Amino acid sequence: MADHGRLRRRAGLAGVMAVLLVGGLAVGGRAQDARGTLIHVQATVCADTLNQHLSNNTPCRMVARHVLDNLVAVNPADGTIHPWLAESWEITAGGRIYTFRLRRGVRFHDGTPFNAEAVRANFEWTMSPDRPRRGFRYLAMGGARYIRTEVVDEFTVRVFFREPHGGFLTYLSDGGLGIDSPAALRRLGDDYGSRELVGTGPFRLVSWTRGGDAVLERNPDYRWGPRVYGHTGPAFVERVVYRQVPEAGTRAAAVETGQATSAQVTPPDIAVLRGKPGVRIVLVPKAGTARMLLLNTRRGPLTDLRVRRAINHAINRPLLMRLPAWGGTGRPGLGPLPINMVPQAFRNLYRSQLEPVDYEYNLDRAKQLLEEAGWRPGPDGIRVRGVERLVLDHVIPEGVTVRESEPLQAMLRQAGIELRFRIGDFNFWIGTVSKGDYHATVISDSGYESAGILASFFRTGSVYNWYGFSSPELDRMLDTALASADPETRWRNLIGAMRIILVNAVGVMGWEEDYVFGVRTAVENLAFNEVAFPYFYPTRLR
Amino acid sequence: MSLQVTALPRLPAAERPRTYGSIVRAQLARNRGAMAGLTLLAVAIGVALGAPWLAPYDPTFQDLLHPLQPPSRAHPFGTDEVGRDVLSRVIYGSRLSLSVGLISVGIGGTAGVTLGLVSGFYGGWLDDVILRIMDLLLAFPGILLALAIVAVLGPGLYNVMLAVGIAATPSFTRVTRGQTLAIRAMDYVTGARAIGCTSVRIMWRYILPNVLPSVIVLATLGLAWAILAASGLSFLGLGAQPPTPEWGAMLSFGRAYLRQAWWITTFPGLAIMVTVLGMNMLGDGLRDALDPKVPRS
Repeated sequence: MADHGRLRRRAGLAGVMAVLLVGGLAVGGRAQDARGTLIHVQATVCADTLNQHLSNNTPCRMVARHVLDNLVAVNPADGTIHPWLAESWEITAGGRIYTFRLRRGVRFHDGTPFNAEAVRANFEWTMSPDRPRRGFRYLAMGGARYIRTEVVDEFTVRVFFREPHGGFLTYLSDGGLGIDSPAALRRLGDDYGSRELVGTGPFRLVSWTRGGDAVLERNPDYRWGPRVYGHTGPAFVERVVYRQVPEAGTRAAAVETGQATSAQVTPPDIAVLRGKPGVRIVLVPKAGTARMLLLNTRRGPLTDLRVRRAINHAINRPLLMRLPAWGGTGRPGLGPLPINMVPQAFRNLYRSQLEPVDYEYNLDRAKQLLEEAGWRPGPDGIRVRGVERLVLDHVIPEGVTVRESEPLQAMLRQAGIELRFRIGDFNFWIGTVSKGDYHATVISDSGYESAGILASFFRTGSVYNWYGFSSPELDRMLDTALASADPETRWRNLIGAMRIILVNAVGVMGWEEDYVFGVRTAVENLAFNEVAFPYFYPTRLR
Repeated sequence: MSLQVTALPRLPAAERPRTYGSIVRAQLARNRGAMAGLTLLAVAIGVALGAPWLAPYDPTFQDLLHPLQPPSRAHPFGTDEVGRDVLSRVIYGSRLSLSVGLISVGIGGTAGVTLGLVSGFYGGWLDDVILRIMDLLLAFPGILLALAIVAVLGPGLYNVMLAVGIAATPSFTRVTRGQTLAIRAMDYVTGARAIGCTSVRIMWRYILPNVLPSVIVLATLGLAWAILAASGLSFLGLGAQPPTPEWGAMLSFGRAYLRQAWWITTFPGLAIMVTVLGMNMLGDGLRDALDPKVPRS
């Protein structure tokens, strides 16, 4: 990889804050250091609103990330939490009370001061029962566990929970929990985030129109950057422009010709960009879940564990990763959380617990399991049991997922299973899958708080548990992980929960993804935030 | 008294009265462009009919160990991103593209001719209502209209056929109505009415046959448009769904590899071009052959 100029960052947790540094990093930047405009192109700049109280759209969060600061910052490389707008904190009452002492002298871009009241106003805005939308931010704030936020003094704030919220600090480092100016929230009401976004961050939002560019301008007064990014002063570039280019090939061409300084591209573009002068390729392991083929355990043939295991054995994951659609990126998945989400200290445990229950590619074993389940080869190769054919409805949103699913179709056919596609737009997909009207679907989610992600997919009755799997033991482990702030307790339980998921073959843990970026070599110190998207605060343009 | 009967001399073949059909055929045969178009179309139809014998591989078979293989003896058009033989997919794709074209034009033609006949024959408020609806449909570019219809009906080949058919309807209605207005004033139509023919019989026996030449020209040109529109919708992911081999869908899936594997998109693109070109050339030739204003030699 390295001989092609690619930098693959595997070390570290999900998101990997890969600071690709060449130049020296100074604490505190000088105004005369700043120069140039970074133009970053991606498929979507922001699909709904920049208001992080409402948005569930990751690209929107990536833009807002530069405008809003958080109370704390995580170093994804080791999972440690560092001060940002909060200088220190204290967890009491067994994880039910969090007290934060806030930084002084911080001002929002509209000139209003940042203080405990601002934090309270933000948290209460999200958790107000009058708000109809309950998105990521509501869940991150603990959902029903949240009681209230109390101002202790001008720079001390206290948050109360009914039950322990072990992942709260990690969630507070997520871009989705950035702190907005309460004055701007009040002034703009429902329009907040559609044109204006006011935070304390290293960049101010100059303009954004839906479907168009988002333009950010350096905040010269910035002095409170998190030290995990190597400096605390103003950003090193004058402007950052996010540009929307839906076609992947055009994004690759933009970075190749220098029209963009960086671009999110697709694995097939690697072959195009490799070796091009002035361009390097950066692979960043995606933060969130692995890409999974989830199986509806309540429907038809999939109620039989043997059939689900046969599907696992029939899919050749190493071969998948060699296909052009992956372009040599990513890795075969082992568990629902990819290994890059697991702190270094627990990776041996992760492997030792999950590898023995992994399903290696073994077509004969797959056929044998199907035979045992009563499915015999039919005249056209598709297995039958009585008058029933072994046909599975695979519900997928149009686009990349179709490309990924075609090889799965071919592999399962070899075992005598027909994977029948039902393709529609995102709304069709989510509507169909959430009703349970499917056998299989490909799904993944991005995020950083491991216990929260795993619970949202696999805990009984959780938001994405659309496939009917329920295990009291699994729920107990997830609840313990969710409540605990102790890494040892969290990860032992999370790894145990993943083992239960694998043993029950709830899905095929298909592949661990890498995000692929084409970056001009003039761009130095490009960092990646907790969800593995570019964060331009420490970036310089040569 | 004897009656001498003298047989009339037999006219040489060249001097026999020529039927309208023979004139058109001769005119068409002299048009090189039309003949080239007819040949291309015949080849496309032949390929579509003979697909199971002509295609070297199963068009949906994925050889996952050999993706993106350039054209070779084993795979004259190369392989795609999951190792499917592009030649076999282009061959099978011709079945789908021609079927979509024919069925779409069939839907548009049947609906359009029926509405045009009724509108032109009866006139009055019925004419007004039909024409306003057609004007409404004509206000949108055909492909945009088809796109909107598929957006409502949902993706899929059958919906694309219906959408393209609906989008093609107004032009058939307009042409048929215009012809019907002219023909219904003819003496033979008045005669038919005088002897008690019903309106349906008059439309079916006396007007429709005279409208058909124009409709055939329109259908030939419409077929080309329908194939192009259906390919366009499939390209956008609204038509044929994987793993069905369809030219537009092949273009769409191949475009991610345009700079590494040109063959995935080039060959289905050429297939669309050749088929549409052939139909347009034949359509132009037919129009010239059927147009009384074009001088005949």
